[in-house]
Amino acid sequence: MNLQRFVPKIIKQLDHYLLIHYPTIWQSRIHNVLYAVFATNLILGGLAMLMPVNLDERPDFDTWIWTFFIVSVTYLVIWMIHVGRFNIFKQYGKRPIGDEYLNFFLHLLSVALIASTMFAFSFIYDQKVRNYVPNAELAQDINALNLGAAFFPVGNYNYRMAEGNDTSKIIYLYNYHNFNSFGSDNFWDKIENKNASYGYYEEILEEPNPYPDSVFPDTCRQDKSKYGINCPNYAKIIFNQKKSRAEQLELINCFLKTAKKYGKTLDCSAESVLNKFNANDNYSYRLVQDQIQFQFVNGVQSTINNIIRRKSDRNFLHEKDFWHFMWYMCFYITLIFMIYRNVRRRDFTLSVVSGIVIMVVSGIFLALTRTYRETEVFTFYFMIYCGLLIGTIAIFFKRNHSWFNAACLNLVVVVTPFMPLFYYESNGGSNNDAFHDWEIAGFVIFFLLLQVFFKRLYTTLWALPEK
Amino acid sequence: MKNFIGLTYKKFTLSNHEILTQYFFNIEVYTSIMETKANFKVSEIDEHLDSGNYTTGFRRFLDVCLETDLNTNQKQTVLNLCDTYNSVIDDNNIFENSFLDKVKELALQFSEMNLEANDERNNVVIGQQITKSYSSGHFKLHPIDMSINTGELVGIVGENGNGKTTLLRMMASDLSLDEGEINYELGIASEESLYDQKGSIAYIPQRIPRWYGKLKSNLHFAASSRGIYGFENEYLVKVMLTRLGLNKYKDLFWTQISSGYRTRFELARILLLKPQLLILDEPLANLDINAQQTFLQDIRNLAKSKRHPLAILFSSQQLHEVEKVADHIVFLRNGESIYNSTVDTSEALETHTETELETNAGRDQIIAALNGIDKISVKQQGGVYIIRCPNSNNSLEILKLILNAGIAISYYRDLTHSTKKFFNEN
Repeated sequence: MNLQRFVPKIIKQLDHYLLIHYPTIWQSRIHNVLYAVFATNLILGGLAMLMPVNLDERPDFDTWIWTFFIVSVTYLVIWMIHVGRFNIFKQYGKRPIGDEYLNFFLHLLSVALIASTMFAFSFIYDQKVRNYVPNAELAQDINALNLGAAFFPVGNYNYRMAEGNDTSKIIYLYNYHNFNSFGSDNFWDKIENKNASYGYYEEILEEPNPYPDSVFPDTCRQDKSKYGINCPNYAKIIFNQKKSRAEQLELINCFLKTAKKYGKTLDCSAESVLNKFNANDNYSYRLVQDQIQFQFVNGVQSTINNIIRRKSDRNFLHEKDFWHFMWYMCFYITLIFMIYRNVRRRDFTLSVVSGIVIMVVSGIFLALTRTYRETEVFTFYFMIYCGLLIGTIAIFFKRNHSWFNAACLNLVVVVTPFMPLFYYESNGGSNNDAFHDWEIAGFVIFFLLLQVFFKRLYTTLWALPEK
Repeated sequence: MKNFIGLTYKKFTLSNHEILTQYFFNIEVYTSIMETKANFKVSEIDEHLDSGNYTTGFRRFLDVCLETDLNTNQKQTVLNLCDTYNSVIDDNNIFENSFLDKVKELALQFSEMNLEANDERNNVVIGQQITKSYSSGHFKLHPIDMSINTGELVGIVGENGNGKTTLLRMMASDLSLDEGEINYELGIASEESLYDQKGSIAYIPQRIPRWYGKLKSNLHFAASSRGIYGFENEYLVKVMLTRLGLNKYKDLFWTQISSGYRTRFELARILLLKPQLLILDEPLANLDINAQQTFLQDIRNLAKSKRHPLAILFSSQQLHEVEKVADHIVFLRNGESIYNSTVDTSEALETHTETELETNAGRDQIIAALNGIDKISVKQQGGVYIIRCPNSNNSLEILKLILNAGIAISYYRDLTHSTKKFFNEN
């Protein structure tokens, strides 16, 4: 398929400019990658923006990421095919100083950009859900819901027995289960830069609790005399006592209106909600269980909690593990591709086979000799590494090309970044910071060797005549 | 004078006089061509353009351009002329006088510019006692000595499976030697680095590796990968495309062109890489007869370039074509060099006179016609007769005797100085 038809004129002009001015950059096709990734992410972002927000369920990010993983892999394969076709090094062309660094960097960047298409849809949709309701507005809505929630008792727990187990004499409590339940989830505190807090009213907080413990058997177990907020049940009583009927109706209406905003409706008026309560009872009410109301309130609660959860979920771009994973994935794809570009195809294939054979045979050997201690295992593999290194350096003294030396070189290149880490692990290292230091040391050693040692070996190897 | 003395008059019969006239005419024309190849003259451009041979004339003009250090304005003018030329060639092939005058004027102007001719003819590669055998044991290339100078064309001939490709690959440092050594003197700073050396050697195998992407992009990449950037890159690619008659195909892909054009595109690419040693394995294999002539003329011009002379080593089955352009010929048989000499050193070949001709007459008729010649041998081989006689008689005398006997011939070639004799001996 001719992909050129999808490329705009400006990119074609840039392509030609790079071709005749900067062939090293041109052969990496970074400009095409930038364009393709930008266009793809734009389309995926557009799709994510068009996709309706379902506030009731957690988005299935894992499925989406794996779905778009196919797109990334497709792009990666196309990119590799195109980049593999042009190689100044294999043409014995004029290479700029530090060309392998430049190539490696451009390839790493290309791989990282291509990998980004895997996350674009999820990221945009996530951002959309996060910002679906601004934080301040959400806090205001939660306040409204919390204030009105007291009039929407749910579940079978908001009552206590007045006398023994006589269910006919149940004393229904105010809705202490629901009061402040909206947004009370710990996740709210995790929302970054929310610039708003949801409401506990100061006047409630400051009121002492005059009621005995028996009135509130399940709550207010701690510090009830000091902060009403820690005793929602108590707070509710005080709150209700302080509100006139009109104010209470207003709170219920406000609840219903807010719930409607989040897609939840109750076919019931504020009057009928309030009439369920016993006006003469200061702290309890009698209520006929209402399943519809129960579902309604739970639905609102679920939606609000879901939004809070989305907002409080840490953005994966801020996760160290994500970047760690991305680094290793991109680094090793780039590294293996670099090896592929530097050697003959047959050498590359035989190197892969050799690597697998060494892993399997050495594993069997270690098992048969019952070598389990980390230091011994490390020593064993270090000896293999040294053997490969000897086979690698022999390239400088060879008169003709050999796949064996090529395989040694390729395996040394692949393993070198890991060697310091192996060493650290085999010596019982467990400190997290030290682990990262040794990890970084491996990459630093690799990059130091890349141009001056590895590239020189590849250059020599490539020029050697066939046997 | 090269030993180009072949004539081909298939499908019709000519009288004796006509044949002889054509024969000497061709010798004369060929001698003239070879002189101009060796000593390029601008007047040739005028002659071609005046006689309506625009393609050759313009290509020779581009040769002048490539041989001259032009400034940017002059290069831009040349590019504009290339555009005009290509559009006219694609359209009606009728050039305006103003265009032709401009070409002539520039050719004169450029030729008067101070050209620094590279007259050095040093060894580019010297191979001594090169030996190679394969592990299968079926074939062994026996010790061969070979050296190629700047500006020299060396042709390797021989039947299939006699070691031509093996020898070429070894000379290109693509295949290791068992014994002997090959030394390159390519005048590069880091002579000890094989990688750097190979950058100055271009090897075109018989089966050219596939190109990817547009053909033009590959040429731009070849040039830029050798440090030819920007306008210079544009200039050289366009001139090269026009020079080799490839402009029409520049936006096509590899699979859209014939194998003959692939060879020509590969040649264009290689030329942009500016090698010092060019090695071609059977370059004529995929070319039609006209393309072969053009190709050979092109590589000869390359080798004899005033400013950037090349050392060229090539193999071919087209023996007569090789002899036409090569300065030196190596004939391989069963891995052994049975002839390794310059084409002019013909004494080595003059052991006997050998004539090749095609006629409907029978062998007896030919023998009867040559009755007066001692120790004559007439052998039929592949539809033609091979006539051998002592070198006291020359081939023309043989031809005269046959024609005088009233035998009509449709093909004649004097093989006395040709390595084709080695094929016939086999």
